[in-house]
Amino acid sequence: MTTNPAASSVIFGWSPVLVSSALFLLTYALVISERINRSIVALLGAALIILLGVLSQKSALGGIDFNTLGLLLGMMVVVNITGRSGVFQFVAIWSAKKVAAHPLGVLIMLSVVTAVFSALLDNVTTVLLIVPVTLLITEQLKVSPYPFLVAEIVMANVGGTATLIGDPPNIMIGSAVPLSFNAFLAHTAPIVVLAIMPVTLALIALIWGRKLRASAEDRARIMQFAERDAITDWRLLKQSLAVLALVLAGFVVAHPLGQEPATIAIAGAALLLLLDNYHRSGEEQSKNVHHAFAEAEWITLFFFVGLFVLVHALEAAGVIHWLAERLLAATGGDLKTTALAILWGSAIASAFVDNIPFVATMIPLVKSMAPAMGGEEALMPLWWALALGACLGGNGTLIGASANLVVAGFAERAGQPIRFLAFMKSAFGLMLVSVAISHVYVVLRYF
Amino acid sequence: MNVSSILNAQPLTVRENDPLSEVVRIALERRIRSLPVLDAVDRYAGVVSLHRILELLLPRSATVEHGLADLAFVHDSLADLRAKLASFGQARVADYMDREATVISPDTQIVEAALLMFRTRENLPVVEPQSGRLAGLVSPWEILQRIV
Repeated sequence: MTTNPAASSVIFGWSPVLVSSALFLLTYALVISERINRSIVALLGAALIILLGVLSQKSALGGIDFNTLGLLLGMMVVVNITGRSGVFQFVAIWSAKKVAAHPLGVLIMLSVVTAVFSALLDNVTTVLLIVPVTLLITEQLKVSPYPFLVAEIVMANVGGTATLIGDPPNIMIGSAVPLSFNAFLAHTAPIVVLAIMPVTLALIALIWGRKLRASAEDRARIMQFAERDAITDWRLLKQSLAVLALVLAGFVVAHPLGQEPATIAIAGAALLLLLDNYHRSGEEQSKNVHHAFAEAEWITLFFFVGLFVLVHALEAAGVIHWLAERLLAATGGDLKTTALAILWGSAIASAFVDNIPFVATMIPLVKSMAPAMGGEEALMPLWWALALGACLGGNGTLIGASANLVVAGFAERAGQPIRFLAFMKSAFGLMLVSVAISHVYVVLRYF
Repeated sequence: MNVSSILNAQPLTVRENDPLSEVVRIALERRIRSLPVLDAVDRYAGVVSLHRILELLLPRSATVEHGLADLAFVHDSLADLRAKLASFGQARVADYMDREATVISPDTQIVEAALLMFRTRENLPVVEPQSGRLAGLVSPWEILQRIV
């Protein structure tokens, strides 16, 4: 393994390969064990990388992808402010009433709503907003919320696969390659919308549909919900929907205009903060803005920061390059075999470990295959395979994606816990079907 | 000065095995919001409050952490709420009381008791540390009566 001479200032003359690998594996193990909050683990790992001399602070900061962080943060702020208007409750209730509150219809409608929101917004925020309304509807219908919550987990991850901004793996891949918002619309959205979503929905209906019954009286209770009353602030609603539309339009035109997604998202967040605050007193503004920032998922953001540094250290030490050579040797350097190995490998891996660190590691690995595969253009199928595998793999188990854990937490508090194995029994199969569809798609479209 | 000189030594109480409907009855009759609960051998066991009864009347999706921010769109009828109240009326107080409620001892200083009441917005059961018996109850009324 070759070692980058720039990284040879490690304390006691230790090998940078050894130190960076040991710290990375230790971090991974601690994150999987869930004994210590993942952001603490990642930040400690990153700090040690610098303190032990594997990277200088300057090169460590260079490894942090601020485009990913900015996009995530900007969208979190926009969505959290939008959520205050009550629009998500409105859409959920409206969709339940559209199917006359028949439980199976509600299951399908809420699944579709979750998928659409997840494609355009952060998955965790989407489920945080949809799950409480779902619990209310199932409570009134006197049906078990279990199938609804499982369906929402699955569809949040499926929907998120469709777009650049839908799921953290896509944001990271899009930022690192780089791939535009429109590129995801052209490559991941079609297969998600035309095949994976309908097939998954049909399977969900098949698994749970027959057991769902509600009396006419209970359904009438839902029909009496006045969805317009769910809107708590019409002014904020109009402002936030206008800004969201602007941001989405911004993503579409950003690439041709030479702008990065983070700029669009942060600009959108700043504009919405302005609209929501300019008429308030100074004190009120401080409180309101502080609240809007505090609502962002800082644990995820700091987890990213630490991971980027750890992965950058592996890269600088030559570990990633060595791993890429091993993977190429295993697949014989064949592009198709490599793409399918990445698709299935990342799906299975993402089911059991957080897909964020996994994708953070895979990105430089795939990048370093460029010379062997015939240049960066030739890598495109590998990127789409990684995006599909890592996003859809999140459905494999309850710990596969952050949104899964958020829903499970809600279910637990509402007295309807979702168990690890029970979830896996239905969701792992659904995940395998979606990856099999992606397999066919990757082969037909790129080879 | 400690609270032993101001406490209400004979507060209304309920027992662990009483039904919740008894709590509702006493609370309505006497216009009080919470009651200390005694166990079978007369020791203090916890507090049961109308706040808890309200929680049981509301959809769980609104009362859990990160739950629905408002229920303006739900137009529940009185009959629905009445049916819900009846559905848990026979449940035991022990299953719904707060065992972790803040309590004080007879030698707690009045200022400290006032601060605890300010923070918890609840009346404070006064419990003998050794025997676990309920010595009485302190509410803002007792404190103000003493001062005025």
